[in-house]
Amino acid sequence: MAMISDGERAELLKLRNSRATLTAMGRLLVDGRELSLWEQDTETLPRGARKWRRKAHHFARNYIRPLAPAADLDPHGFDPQPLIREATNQGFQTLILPFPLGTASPLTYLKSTTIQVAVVAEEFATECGGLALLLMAHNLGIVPVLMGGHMRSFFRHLVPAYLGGAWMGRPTTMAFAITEPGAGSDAEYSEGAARAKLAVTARRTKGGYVLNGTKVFISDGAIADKITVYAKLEGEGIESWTCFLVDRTMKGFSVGRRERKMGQRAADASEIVLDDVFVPDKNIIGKVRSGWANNHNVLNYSRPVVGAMALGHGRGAFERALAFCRDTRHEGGRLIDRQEVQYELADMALSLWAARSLVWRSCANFRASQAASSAAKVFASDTAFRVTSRAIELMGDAGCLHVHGVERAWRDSRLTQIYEGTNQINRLDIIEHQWNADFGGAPLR
Amino acid sequence: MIPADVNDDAVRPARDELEHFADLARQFSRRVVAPVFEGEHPDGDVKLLPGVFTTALDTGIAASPADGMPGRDFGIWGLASSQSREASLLLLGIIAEACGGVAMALNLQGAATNIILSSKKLLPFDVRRPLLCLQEGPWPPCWNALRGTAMETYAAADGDDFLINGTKSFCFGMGESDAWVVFSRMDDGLACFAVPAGVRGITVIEHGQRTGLRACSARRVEFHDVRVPAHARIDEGDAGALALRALALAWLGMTSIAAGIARGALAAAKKYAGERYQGGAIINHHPIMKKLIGGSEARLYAVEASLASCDSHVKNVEEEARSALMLKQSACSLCGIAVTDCLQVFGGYGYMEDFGMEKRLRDIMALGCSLGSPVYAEQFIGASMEDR
Repeated sequence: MAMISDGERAELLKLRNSRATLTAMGRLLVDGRELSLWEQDTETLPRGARKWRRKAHHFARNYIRPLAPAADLDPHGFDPQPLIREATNQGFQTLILPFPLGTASPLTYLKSTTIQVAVVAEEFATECGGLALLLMAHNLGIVPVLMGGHMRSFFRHLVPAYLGGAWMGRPTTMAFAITEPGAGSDAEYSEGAARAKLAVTARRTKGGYVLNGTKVFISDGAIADKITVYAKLEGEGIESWTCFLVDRTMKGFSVGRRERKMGQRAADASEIVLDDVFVPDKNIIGKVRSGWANNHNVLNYSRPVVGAMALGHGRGAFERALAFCRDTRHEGGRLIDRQEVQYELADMALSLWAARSLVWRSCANFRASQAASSAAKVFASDTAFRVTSRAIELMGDAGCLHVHGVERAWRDSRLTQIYEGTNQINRLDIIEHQWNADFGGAPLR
Repeated sequence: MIPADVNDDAVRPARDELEHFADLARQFSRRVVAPVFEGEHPDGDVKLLPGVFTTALDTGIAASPADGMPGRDFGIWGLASSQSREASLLLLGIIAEACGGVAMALNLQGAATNIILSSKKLLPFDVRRPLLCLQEGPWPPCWNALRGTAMETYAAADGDDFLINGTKSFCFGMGESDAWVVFSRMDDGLACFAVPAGVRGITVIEHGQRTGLRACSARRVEFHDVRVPAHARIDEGDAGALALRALALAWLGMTSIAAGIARGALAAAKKYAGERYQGGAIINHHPIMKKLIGGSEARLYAVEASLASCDSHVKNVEEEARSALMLKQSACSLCGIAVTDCLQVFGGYGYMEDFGMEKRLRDIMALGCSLGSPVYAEQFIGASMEDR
């Protein structure tokens, strides 16, 4: 028998090779597919989500990746409109709505309202957190209209926006405004909200309401055509919160300060100033005084998507670190061939896999669950921050260089632990939702 | 094996001397460093940074090997640090509260200076601002490479001179330098040279935008047949020990810088938590905020306690390097958690450039990866234990 080296022997022992020694039945039970983990995961999705994941993967590679470094370095010099137009043309900006209002696959939508958006969010964020937020924040502006549940609002506000984007090449960008200078977490958690000091008010007048006050950190606030704004009625508390659709062309509306952020820099976060803005009754979203419930449930639908974006940041960092370790030689060998490097990479991959499982699980119903949504957001964002940190560490000093894109993913991921409710608030939301129910299988006594 | 120059019998600076150093560092931070960050410059106005380093040299905060420079003895890692590390660590920690990048630049300038000074060699040219060239890839040399066999930069005798070839990366320092302290393979060992920055054959390339510590320059330096005189060789045949000394000082300094960054973050978070109102109360009354701030206090306390003991138990340079790296790794990890928790106290505001918290987080992240990230550190420490 010919002599073989230890390396050749190790290669023979790997299951993909040694399975040849099994019986036919044994071979049948070995997963020998030459598919990437990404493709294997994709195959577990419902048909509609599968289609959108593949499409988003292609879009992210071809349209987002080339723009990402420059958009991060010079966010104020970057023109987002061509990207928004292309995303609209390809149907991504109406994915939160099923046909005929939008582009989501109806059958998949009936099983899971958010999974199609979530898989797209992950793909976009893998290439760039800022550009992903720029595109995804638009959905956040639409969902309050859906939650409002008035067909006349759909036809008055959403259908023209869809038709304008899909058929006339004029996309409408929407945004969502709840945060105020004195109320950040208070707008995202019931206990805090009960004591919140909110300043944006709506005063009743003939034919509508007059809005006054300032909202801050509004994603896409500077570029949005329409913004769903929450305001308390004059002289009342947060229980009177009402959602209004504010058009940027309305008199008294202006954009204030554009924030300078640590990451997700390609997406603007702006202050919007409402100075005696008259909003007609037809622009009230849902019922008067339904704003708190509307807002709270919007967050339940959006938090899994934030979790998916976080997952994308982590995956982007992981993929780039993996490529770096394959390409980089250190002291006579490739980094990827070192055991300690393989250990780190495996740990990162399994963390991301676990986070993806939770995010997809939280999207698995027609109605969003507060506890599951918060859990997905918290777990995925904490995982992403940890994975991006480890990706940088794995690359040593090179990980801190902007040119590799890993540190950008790390900066991007940090925001997912803060917005849509800090992770501390989200943990309280899990308890709030499950307070009167058992976490286990048995009912409470 | 050369002995470390700090041990149980070390002469520690008197309390009033330390107070003087602390006062000097505070004044430097307030009057020289802080103005660099005024306006919309989260990482400092780069145009003003050369002035910061010039002032650091002129006031004796930055060490320099040149005769007559005030920092030669008492600057960060100057000659006096042979007696005790305490003063240098104190200076670095206080400056890092204002800016981690400035502190890092002073730290690395000090480490390069210390190698030249401790060699007691009379160099054939003046060196005022040396810069350390040790690292070749994303990580510093591993434990075994410090014996020279794995380093790719090499030096060869050529008549009375040496010719150096190779590329060093992530050479950190205070902007413009006038000499490079270069470690290279020679025969089967390691050698160390002081190379004037202006000689023919050297190409310097900035590494480009980095996550943090941006006030501290990072460069790739390429050596193509660079000729240096024999007198420019610093080591006496054991440059491995010099490399370990440089790394040990740098890592110790980085430990203090990590603590300084976390101290700055914690002070800012406590101030904010005492002023910000949410959920019907000042936020420092909320248990979750107590958890974030209390946890950060505890982590910082642990780092400061271990740093305070670092002078007392070191017997030789290998042991000092090992313990310095262990300190650096755990300090960056603990302080990293403290800084990110302090940022979280600010909510969305912590993520904005205006509050200085995101800069601290970027700085501590970059610090943890510089001169050996945890992946490297664990291997280095593990390998060093094999020899014990």
